[in-house]
Amino acid sequence: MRSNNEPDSDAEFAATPLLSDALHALKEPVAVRAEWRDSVLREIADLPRPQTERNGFALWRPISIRPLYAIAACLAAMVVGAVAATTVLRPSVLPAVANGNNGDANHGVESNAPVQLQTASAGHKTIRFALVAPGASHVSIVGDFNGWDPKATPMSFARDGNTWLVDMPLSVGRHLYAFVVDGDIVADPSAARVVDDDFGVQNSVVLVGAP
Amino acid sequence: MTDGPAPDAPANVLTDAALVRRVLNGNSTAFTVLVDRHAPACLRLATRMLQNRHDAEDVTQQTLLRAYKALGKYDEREQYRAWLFAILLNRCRTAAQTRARRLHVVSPGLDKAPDVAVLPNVARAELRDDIARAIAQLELPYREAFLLKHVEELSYEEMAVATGVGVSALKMRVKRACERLQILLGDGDDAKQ
Repeated sequence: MRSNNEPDSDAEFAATPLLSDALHALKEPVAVRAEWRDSVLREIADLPRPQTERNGFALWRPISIRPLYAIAACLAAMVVGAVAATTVLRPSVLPAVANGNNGDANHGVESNAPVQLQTASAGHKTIRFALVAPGASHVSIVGDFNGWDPKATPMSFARDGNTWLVDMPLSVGRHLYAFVVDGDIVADPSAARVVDDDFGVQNSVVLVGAP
Repeated sequence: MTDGPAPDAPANVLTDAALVRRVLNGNSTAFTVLVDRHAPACLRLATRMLQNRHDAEDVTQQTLLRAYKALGKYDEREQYRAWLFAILLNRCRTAAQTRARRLHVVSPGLDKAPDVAVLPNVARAELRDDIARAIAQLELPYREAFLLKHVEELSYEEMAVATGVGVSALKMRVKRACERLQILLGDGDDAKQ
């Protein structure tokens, strides 16, 4: 939209007949000399072929998305995400850790990090580890507290029939551990931190707090 | 809905953007079509800008070579002609400054006498000379704006691409150029005073 102060150059120009005559002269084509054209084309032929820009800025192009399409895409992504979460992360598929809150309707088993139960002795606390692995036949825990011996600390089934439990007195500080499920080492999915050991196996970390 | 011209479509019926794509895909002869399509307008604009046929051919040649090298940077959302004119106007400005310095040193006052022979052979030879002198007396930004709008007939949006100047400023320049030309050609009220 033209503002009040913006000139309308076309209207101004239409009112000047002498300028119109001048324009006819100015618009006359300028002849392209054949020799000049040939020399230009020869020079261009000697140049390397131009390349399409491949850097990120050149490839970036703003795209327009209709709002309804954008909303539909977001909803679809949320549905896919929810389905994936319930399928991949359901307790029967991935191991989980109990919080030691016994007595509730779920037999005290929920997906949670290791839980400190009580002070075992001076400088030690009892930590409950739990792993939901309903199909497993033998589960144990290994860590720096038992010399990474798979036979040293077997875990037992909880009353829900899905969860393997063990209570471990651990010294205050940081401990690395993992579960051994039918011979396979499994990192605790609920652990606060996971680090790679020297053999490329992921271990879990539990921090035992001071009293 | 079509996805564009057929791969075997004759080059001279393709759009500028399609020709650019062909060049970037290795078909260098497509650029010949672009040269033949736009060189006349470039030559005319450069000639009117610089008032010298030899200089105009030089800057147009430089423009076409630079355009070929920079073809990968061309954005299809812009008119190719406006993009090409942007290069051409830069070359014209540089050439005008260089020539102004040269004329100032060698023969002061020569830049006031445009090469009227570059203008077309129209019936009114006197008018032809007057136009050449009047155009030459316009300051470069006003000369650019006037020629782009009223000779090359670009839209103000295309002019903005070619000059890098906003549409409102361009409209003002065109208006003032017209007023100035009226005076210089003796067609305005001011000229009668």
